[in-house]
Amino acid sequence: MRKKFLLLFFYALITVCLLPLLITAGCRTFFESEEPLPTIEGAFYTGTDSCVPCHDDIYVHYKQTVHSRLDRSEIQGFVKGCETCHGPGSLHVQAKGGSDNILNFSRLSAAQSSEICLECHRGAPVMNWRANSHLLNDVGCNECHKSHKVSGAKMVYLGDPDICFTCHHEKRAQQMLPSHHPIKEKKMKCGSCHENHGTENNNLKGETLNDVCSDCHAEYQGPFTFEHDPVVEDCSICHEPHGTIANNLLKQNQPFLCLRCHRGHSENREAGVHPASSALLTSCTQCHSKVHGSDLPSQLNSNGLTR
Amino acid sequence: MRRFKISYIFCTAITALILFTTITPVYSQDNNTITEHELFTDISTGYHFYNNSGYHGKVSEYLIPDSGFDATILLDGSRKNNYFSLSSEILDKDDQTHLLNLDLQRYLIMDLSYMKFRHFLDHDPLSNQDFFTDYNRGEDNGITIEEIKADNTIRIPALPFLKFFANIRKYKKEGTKQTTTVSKDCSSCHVSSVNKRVNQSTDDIILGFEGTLKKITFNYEYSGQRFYEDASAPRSDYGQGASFYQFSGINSYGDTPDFKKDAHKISLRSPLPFSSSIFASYQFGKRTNRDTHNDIDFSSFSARLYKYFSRFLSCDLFYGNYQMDSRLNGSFERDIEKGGIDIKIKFLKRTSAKITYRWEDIDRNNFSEDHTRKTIYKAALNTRIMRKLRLHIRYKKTRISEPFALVDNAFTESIIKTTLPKDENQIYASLNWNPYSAFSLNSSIRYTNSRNTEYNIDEDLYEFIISSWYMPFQRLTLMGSFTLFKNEIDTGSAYKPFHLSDDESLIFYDNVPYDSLSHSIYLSATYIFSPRLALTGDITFINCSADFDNMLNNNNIGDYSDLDIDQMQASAGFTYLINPRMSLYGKYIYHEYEDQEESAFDGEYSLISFGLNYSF
Repeated sequence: MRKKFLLLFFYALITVCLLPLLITAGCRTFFESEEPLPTIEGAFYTGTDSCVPCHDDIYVHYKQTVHSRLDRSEIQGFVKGCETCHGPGSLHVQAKGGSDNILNFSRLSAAQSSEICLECHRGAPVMNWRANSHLLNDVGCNECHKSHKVSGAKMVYLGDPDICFTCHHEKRAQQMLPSHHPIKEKKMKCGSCHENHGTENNNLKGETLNDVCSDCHAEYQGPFTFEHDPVVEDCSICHEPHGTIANNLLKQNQPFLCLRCHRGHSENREAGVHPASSALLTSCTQCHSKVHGSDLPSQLNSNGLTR
Repeated sequence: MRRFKISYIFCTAITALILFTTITPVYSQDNNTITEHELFTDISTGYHFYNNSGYHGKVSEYLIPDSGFDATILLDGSRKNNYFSLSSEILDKDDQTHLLNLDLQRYLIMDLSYMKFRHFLDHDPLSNQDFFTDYNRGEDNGITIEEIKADNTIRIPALPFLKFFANIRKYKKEGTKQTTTVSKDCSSCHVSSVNKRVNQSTDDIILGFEGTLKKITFNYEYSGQRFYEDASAPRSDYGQGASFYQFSGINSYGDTPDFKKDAHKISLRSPLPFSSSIFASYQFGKRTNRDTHNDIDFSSFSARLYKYFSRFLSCDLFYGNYQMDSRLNGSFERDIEKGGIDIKIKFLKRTSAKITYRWEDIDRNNFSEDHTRKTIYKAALNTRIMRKLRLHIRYKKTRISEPFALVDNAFTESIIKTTLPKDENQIYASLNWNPYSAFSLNSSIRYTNSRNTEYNIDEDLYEFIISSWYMPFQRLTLMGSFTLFKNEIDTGSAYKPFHLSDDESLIFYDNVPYDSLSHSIYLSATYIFSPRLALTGDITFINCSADFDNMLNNNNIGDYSDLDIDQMQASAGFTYLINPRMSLYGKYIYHEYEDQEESAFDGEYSLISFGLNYSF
C-alpha cells in the first residue's frame, strides 16, 4: 500500500513538473522540431497544379489514395497537396525538374523521411515510432508504405505477412515447421500480435507477452486457484509462437520439456514392473491435462493439474 | 443476455453516428481534393474438389475442409470524398474472410472484418497408456473459429483536434477438443478421455479518444474483455481411492472458468526543448476469474525520452514498470521494473550503428526465486557497403541473475530447476544483395549459445537461411530458398522412482541431451507462356527431427519424445486470359504429412480448383 502511494506521488510529481513544459511545447514558434526536417533553401510553395503537367501518372494514383481525401481540419492547416511531403517546389519547377531541389524520399535517410510523415501522423500507432527497432535499424516508413502506388487505406504495397517476411526470413522459415500459427494460411497476421510501429513492450501489442496471447487464448489467462507458475510468468518459457517441430508450439517435445523443470516419476524396477509403467514419463499432459491452470483440485496432490 | 447489452448499445450508437455524420454539412472540404467517381471490381467464382486421406489434424490443420463452390470479390470505389473497399473470400462455408473499409468524408472511418475457419485439433491415440478409456476413439476433433471486428474512428468537424474511436471484437470457438483426466486408484492409474464440447466466446471493446494540440498528442482508452465458456465440463468416475485423496466418486474435470478484464490507459507524446521528445503511458486494470472471484490488479507505467543530438547521433532513454497483485493468499505476484538506452550513431552516409543497454528487475512474492535481474547488451551495424549490398550484423549478450525457476516438491526432497539460461550470447548477420533489377540474394545466419552452469544447461541454436529471386528473362520468374534450424541442448534432470520411500532418493542426471534439426527447401516458378497464358508452380520439402537421448531409468521415454516428420507441399496453377476482362484459372494443391515415429498422424490432402475471373 505504501509502495503504491509512493508510486502515485511520483507520477503526480512528474505530471506537475512536466505540465508547464508540455503546455508551452504546443507553441511551435517556441520549440524547434525534435529532429530537423529536411528543407529546400530558398524555395516556396507553388501548389499541386504545377506538379501535374510533368507528374500526371503519379497524380492519377495520388487521387485514389487517402492522402487526396484528407479534410482540411484533420491535420490543422498542413494540406498543401504534393508539397506537404515533397517540400516547396518553386526551385524544382523553375529548373524544370531535378532531384536536388525537391524532397525525394529515395534520397533521404530513414530518419529524415520518417520525420516528414510524423509531421501529420502523430497519434497511435506511431506515438512510439522514434524508439521503434525498425527506425533504429534504418527501416523508414516508405520501406513498407508506398503512397504513390497503393490506393488501399494503409498504402502498404504487400499484405501482411508477406511484407514482414521480405526482411524477417527466419520467421517465414519457422512458419514452415509442423506446428505453427495459421499465418501462412492467411488466417492470422504478424499484426495480430505485433505493432510494427513500436510499443512500450518492444513491438508487442500487449503490456506483457501473456496479454498478447490471451487475446485469442483467453481461457488460459487465469487467475486460477491452482496455477502453473511458468504460465503466469511468461508463455514463452514453454512455447515458441513462430513455429516449432514439437506439437502445440512447444519448444521441445514432451516429456523432455517438462523434465527440464520437473522431476520425472517412474516405476521402481527393483520393486517389480508397475502396471502403468509405459504411461509414466512419456506424455505428461495426458494426465496433467490442465497444465495452464485449474480451479479444481487433483485427486492426490491438489495442485497436480489433472482435472 | 447481459453480454449482448454492450454490443446492442454500441451498434445503436454507431448507427446514430453514421446518420449524424452523413447529414453533417461538409463545410470544411477543400474542393480541390474531391475525387471523381471511380469503381474497380474483380470477381472470381469457381468450384473445388477436396480429398483428405488419413489424419486431418496435421496435414490439413487449417486448410479448406470440404468440396464446394468458392468465390472472391474485390470492390474498390470512391465518390467525392467517400471511399469504400470490400474484399470477400469464400472458400467454403467454414472458411471465409470478409473485409470492408469505409471512409465517409473522413468523419467516420470503419474497418469491419469477419473471418471464419476450421482448425482441426489433435486426437491423441494414447498408445503409450496401459489403462485408458477413450470414449471417442478415432473421432476427429476440431473447432470452428469466428472473429467479427469493427474498428471505428469518428471525427466531429467542430472538434478537429479530437478523434474518437470505438473498436469491438467478438471471437468465438466452437467444436470439440480432447480432454483427459486421471483417476488414481491403488489398483491402477486410469486415464479417461472424451471429446469435450467447446463453446467459447471472447468479447472485446475498446472506447477512447485521441487529441492533438499542436505537437502534443494524448490518448485515452478503456478496454474491456469478457470471456465465456458455455459448454459444460465432462464428468468422470474417480473411484473410491485412498482415504487421503481429495475426493472420490463422480466429479467434473476439464472445466474452463469465465474471465473478465478491464483496463484504462492514458498515453501522451510531446516535444520538449533542445530537440527532444517524451512519450509516457500509464495503465491500470483488473483481471477476474468469474467462477472463483479471484482477481488480479495490474498497473504499468512507461516513459521514453528521445534526444536528437545531430544527424550523426541520437538516443532514446526508456523506463517502465509493471505490477501484478493478486488478492488470493499465497498466489504468485510480480513487480517488474525495467529501463535502458538506445544510442544510434551514423558514421557515414550508408552506415549506422545501434548500441542498446537494457535492464529488468523482477520481484516475485510467494515464489522461490524472489528476485531476477536481467541485463541485455546489444550492438548492431547496418551498412550498404555498396549501393546494391546491404549488410546487418548484430551481437547480443544477455545475463540473468537467478532466472525464473520452479520448485518441485518430491516426497523426501525438493528440487529447483529451470529452462532459462544465466548467460546467452547471440550473433546474427544478414546480407541482401541486389546486383541488378532481375536478381536478388538474401542470406542470414544466427548462432545462439545459452548457458546456466548452476543447472547444467548448455544450449546451442544454429540458424541458416538463403533465398534468391531471379528473373532470367521477362516471362520467367524463379524463387528458391533453403533454411536450416539446429538446436542442441544438454541439461540436468532428475527422476524419482514410483512410490518413493525414505530409503530411496531422487536420481539426478547432469547431462540429458536433446537435439533437433529441421531443414526446408522451397522452389517456385512463374512462366508467362504467352500473352494469354501464365503458369505457376511451387514445391516445398520439409524434414524435421528431434532426438531425446534417453538416459533416465525407463526405456521407452526417449522413443516417445523422438520426432521424425517429413512434409511435402506442392501446387501448380494456370491463368488463361479469355479477353482483357475475363480469365479462366485453375489450381492443384497437394500436401503430404508423414510421421516416421507415429503413423497414426500420417495424411494426404489434395485440392483441385478452377473458375472464372471477371474484372471491370
